[in-house]
Amino acid sequence: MKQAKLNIALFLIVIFGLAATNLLHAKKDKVSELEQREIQQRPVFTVDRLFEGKFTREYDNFFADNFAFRTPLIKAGSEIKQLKGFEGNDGAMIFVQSGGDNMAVDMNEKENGGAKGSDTKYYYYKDRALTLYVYTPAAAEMYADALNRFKASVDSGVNVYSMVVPTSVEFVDDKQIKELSDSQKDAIAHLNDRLDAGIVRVGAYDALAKHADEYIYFRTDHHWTALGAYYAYGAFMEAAGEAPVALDKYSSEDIDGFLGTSYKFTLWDKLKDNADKLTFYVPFTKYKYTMHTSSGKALDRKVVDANFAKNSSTFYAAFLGGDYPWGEIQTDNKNGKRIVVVKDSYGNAFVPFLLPHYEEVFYYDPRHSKDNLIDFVKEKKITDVLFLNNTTVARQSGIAKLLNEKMDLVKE
Amino acid sequence: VVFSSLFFLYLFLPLLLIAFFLSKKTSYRNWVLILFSFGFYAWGEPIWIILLLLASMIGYLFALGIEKYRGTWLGKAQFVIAIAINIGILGFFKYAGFLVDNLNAVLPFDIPHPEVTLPIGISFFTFEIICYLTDVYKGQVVAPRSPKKLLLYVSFFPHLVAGPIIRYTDIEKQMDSMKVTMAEFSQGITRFMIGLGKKIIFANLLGESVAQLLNPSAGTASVLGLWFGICLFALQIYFDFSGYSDMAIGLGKMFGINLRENFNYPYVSKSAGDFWRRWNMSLGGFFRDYVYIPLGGNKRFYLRNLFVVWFLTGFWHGASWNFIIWGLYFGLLIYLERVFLGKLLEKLPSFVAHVYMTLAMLVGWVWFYFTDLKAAVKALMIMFFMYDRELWTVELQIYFRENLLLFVVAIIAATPLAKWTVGRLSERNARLKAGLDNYAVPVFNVAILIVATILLVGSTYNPFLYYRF
Repeated sequence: MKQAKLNIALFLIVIFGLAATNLLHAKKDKVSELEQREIQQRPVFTVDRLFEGKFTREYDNFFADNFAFRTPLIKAGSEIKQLKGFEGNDGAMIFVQSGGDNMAVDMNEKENGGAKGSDTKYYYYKDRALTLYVYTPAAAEMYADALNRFKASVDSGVNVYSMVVPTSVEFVDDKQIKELSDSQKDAIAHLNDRLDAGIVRVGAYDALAKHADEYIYFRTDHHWTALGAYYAYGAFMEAAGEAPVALDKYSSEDIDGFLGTSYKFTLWDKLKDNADKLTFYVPFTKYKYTMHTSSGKALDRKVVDANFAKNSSTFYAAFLGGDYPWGEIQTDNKNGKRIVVVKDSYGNAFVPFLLPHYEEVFYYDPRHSKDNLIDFVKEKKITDVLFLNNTTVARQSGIAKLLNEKMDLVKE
Repeated sequence: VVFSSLFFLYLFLPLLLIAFFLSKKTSYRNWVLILFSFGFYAWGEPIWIILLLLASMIGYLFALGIEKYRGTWLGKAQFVIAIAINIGILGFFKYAGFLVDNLNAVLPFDIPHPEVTLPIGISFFTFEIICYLTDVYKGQVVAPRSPKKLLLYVSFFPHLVAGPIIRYTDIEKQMDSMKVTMAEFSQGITRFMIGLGKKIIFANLLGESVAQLLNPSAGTASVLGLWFGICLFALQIYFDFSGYSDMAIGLGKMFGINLRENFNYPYVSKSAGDFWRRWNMSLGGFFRDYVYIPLGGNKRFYLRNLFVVWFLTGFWHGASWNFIIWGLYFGLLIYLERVFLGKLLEKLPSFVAHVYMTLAMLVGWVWFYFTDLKAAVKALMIMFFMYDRELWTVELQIYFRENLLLFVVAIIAATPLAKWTVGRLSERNARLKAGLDNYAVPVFNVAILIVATILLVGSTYNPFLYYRF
């Protein structure tokens, strides 16, 4: 009897206590900072929506998304989960993010040769999260073919460059990781082999490899740092036959306490102890940067800005403000050179370094842009085109497909 | 709705508890449960609530007809028609697509594929109505005059969507006096918490690496990786299903209704026959009492009956060939055990029988897991060294280490060992027993509830990092 009373009392206290807290808990959040997504709002009730099952489904999400103390409970949950086993040497752990990689919008398992490559695996190593790499030759070929098609479609006077950037896992010298992660060097080599002879290959790989010990990649985010981008810029200048500007000509600013995408996916507590420092280099060139948003707005901004980081859910947005369909930067160099960087988010840290060398610098993001790429090059009287993507293009076919789509686009 | 959700725990259940315990009269309590049960069903399947209502009313009306015309051909005809309607409902919603796909594979023309979604719980409530009609037909049950009791029997939410498959006689009398004592309510809580812990702590966490490991076409597939994967899956499905049954039984108790048991430590079985007396017992009982024995049991047409029952058992689990193979595989094992294997195993030390059954069970789960037969065959070939793959990989090593503690604890928790140890200790020490009963159990329960809630909130974590908003 004693047990029954205590048992019932504890149970009822928790159930009714949490139910009541939850009921009274203000449901005012519109977005979840940690998840970078909108929070489900209270669904609209109509009889039709009820019978379609929409109302109840949305209500479930609404209830879960607005649960009292949700964010701290999520973090506690991830810590409880880690109790299920032990870490390996150097704290090795794997976290699988199903549903795919960040860079490409779409991926079809079959076309990528089975389930391979469709999940993103994070690997904890010493003080950082690495994304294990999976090489898919078919995807690399598709990307090279898309670039070749582009080269054939534009005026032969336009210089076309291709830079494929390796990700951080490539430069970790660890036997176990070499077994888990495919070689990006080989992947890039294979991709380059297939490129048209007229496309200039930019050796970002070697440039980064030379500085592998430096802070060229974030520990808690899947991107490179501005320093990494600067070394790749050096390689690009070499390919373009120009001299790079020395880094010490720039003044720099730091943002501390950056916890990036890898942290947000894995919620690995240990990553918090090694939060990143994001450094950006302020251009000395006079410029005017206009970003063009998905909704068609044109906004004048700075190319690097600590305010971007403050107002966004990721500090990496300090570069160019984040991923936008396209942007244009006019400088006071009157040399008639106009470049477009066709890029994924790796391009964001890179683009600001181009300012001293071009009259106009454009960027074009095939994931977001609604313009025909070839027309874009013609209309803006582009003289140089740089395709800058990370090695995801040799893993998933998403970007290649998008490039093809953007070349097929018919203007309305 | 599922029991293991925030919505159920912190909205549905509190509301139901209030409504139920504020109603004092039995018939009010009956109606509260019926209304909440239909609400429970409608929450997940707003449209198919009509089907649930229709099937219940068919059961109700035909049972009255069967009784009225008992002993005449009209009674028998109504029985046959009612059973046929139920099997028809199940057949249409669950098997039409499968049947059409297979016919299209052999026929020269194509029948359009029917686009029907499977209403939740249909495999359970149609079987329960079949039980009821058969029992009425055999005169073992007196059909109730008012539809209330039948509606409650069919729709009672704890067993509605995933069993146990109960018989009308199980709860007939309990529905007439819906009284719950404190001791019963407390037992119900404890049982529910055991189930909640099994589902959310064990099943969900065990299942996290299963899809990674059980992927025979991936380059990283390895012999031990597949074995480890199928072990994790075996534990996951046991904790998932038996946890669900525990939650159902616990909830039933909290509202004064005792449901039948459904699991009895299946992984300590020594034979396939033993396994099926311990695994999903209410389903095994259904096929035994309503199919196997009426067909003649082991007295007439034994082989035919065995084949039919195991074919149906497999097919019931899903409209796909792999489930049929899985069912027949157990039928074959049971046949072999009857012919010679059983006697042989009895003579050998009992660990041999345990090893035999564990291996047989794991191979069975391979058939169960892969709806794609090619993948199942490939997985089995890798597991038995008939396909050129590494013995293990570095990745497996990490997965193994990451899951090791949970894996070991889960194996122990799947056996009666802990229960037995606690029982023995408290037998010897009265003070320990009192302490366990009075304090340890309540504290343990609330700990499970809190951890489960945290993990449930955690499971809603859905980072969406690459698109701007």
